[in-house]
Amino acid sequence: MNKNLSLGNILGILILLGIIIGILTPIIAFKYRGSKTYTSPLEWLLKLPFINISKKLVEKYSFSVDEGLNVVVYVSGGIEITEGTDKKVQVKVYEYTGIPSWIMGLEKTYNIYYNKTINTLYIDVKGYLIELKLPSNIVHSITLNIKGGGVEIDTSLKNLKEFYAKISGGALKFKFSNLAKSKININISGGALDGELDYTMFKGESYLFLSVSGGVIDLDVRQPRSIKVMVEGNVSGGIASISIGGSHIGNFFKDEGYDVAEGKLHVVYRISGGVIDLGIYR
Amino acid sequence: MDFPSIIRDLGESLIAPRQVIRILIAERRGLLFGFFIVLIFSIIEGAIATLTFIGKLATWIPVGFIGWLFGGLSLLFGITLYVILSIGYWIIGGLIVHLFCKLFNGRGLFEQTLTAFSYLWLPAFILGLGAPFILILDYITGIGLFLLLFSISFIWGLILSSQAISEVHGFGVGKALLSVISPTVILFIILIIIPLGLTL
Repeated sequence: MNKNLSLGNILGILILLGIIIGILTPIIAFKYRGSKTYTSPLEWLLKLPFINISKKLVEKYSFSVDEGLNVVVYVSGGIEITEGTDKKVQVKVYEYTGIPSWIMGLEKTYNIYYNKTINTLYIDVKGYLIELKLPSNIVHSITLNIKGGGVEIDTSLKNLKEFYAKISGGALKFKFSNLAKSKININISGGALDGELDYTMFKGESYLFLSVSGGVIDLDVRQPRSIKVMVEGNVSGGIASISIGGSHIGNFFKDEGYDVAEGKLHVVYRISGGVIDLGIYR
Repeated sequence: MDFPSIIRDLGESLIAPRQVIRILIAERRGLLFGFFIVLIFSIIEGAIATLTFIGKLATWIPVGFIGWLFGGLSLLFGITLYVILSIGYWIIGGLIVHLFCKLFNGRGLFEQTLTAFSYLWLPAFILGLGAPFILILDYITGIGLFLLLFSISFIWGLILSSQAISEVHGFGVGKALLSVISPTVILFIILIIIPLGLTL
């Protein structure tokens, strides 16, 4: 032991402090870091200082559509779907300025049209942000093909019958309420999905098909108690966390009386990589 | 006030690396001291670097638990990778430094070269002291501060290590500096110059 408070000892204490602070700070920072999450990297980039990013309206469309509308979207940019009014679909195309091309990708295109004969709205977008206002009660089906960027659906879509999402990158966030008999098919091979499905009482069998070969699905399903549930799973890799009413289940679950129930929800999941966190609440 | 000798050794290494390395070699605890420095400071550097560069990116993942998972896994992976690379660089880089020292007719042993070379990591304590500021600041400024402190630490480490190598091998600081920067130069050639040459 050395009893002198020499310069060497003072520097030694400083090094020791550096070691202690250097170990404790990452632990504290990791434990207490903010829970704020962003839908897309663009939203996150907008928060950064010294980066002057703004969005500029490029074009807007308005379509009068019929009931039973089908929406087909191909996206590698960003789409925000919100509640519209009457039977009008409104589409706004925005361009981000101030973002280097290596972030947005060099190719920037958009193609939006409505085919009245088959009552289908097509949106194909790369490198732009689309704001889409959909009248919630007339949408029959939505097909999403996401290859990058973010998609946020913030509308109830009460009469949705079919929803198909193929995600191979990027992020999808949605909340569907008042769902009745429907087919929901989510296929993810990269990227992330955060969704909520709120079912109302219905007759017949609804399907929820989840396929993960990479990426993450975090899905919450809420349904009336009278709707019976059957879950069938196939796990050949990755992590599956499936729970009903907070209790974890295995690869197969069937409610008593499922076969004769008026309303049924049939859940099928396949996972060969990535993560599924599915919670069913009633 | 009593101070453990390790604190004195650490502190005096910053101002008198020649004397400390002589003591460490004489007391035959140089290699353990060197390993301790490389291990501790690579853990600190790895944790801060991962949280600075990657941790904040996890916030854009809209799924709460996967953001946490991503952050946790990246931290674990970042620290592990950084420690492995640092120890690898210490041993393989130390071997290269030792070969250069022998080319300059150095008289030290490989074990002593490793001890002296470990001084490269010692000034990384300033990253530890600056960690609260790096992690509180926003993304760009945090990265900027990290790179600034890392550069200061690296240059300071080169100076300390060169003095220690010079003492161990009994030649001038110029030759010692050439020996100490040789692994960095070789790594730079392998990782940047050769790939650039191949792509052009």
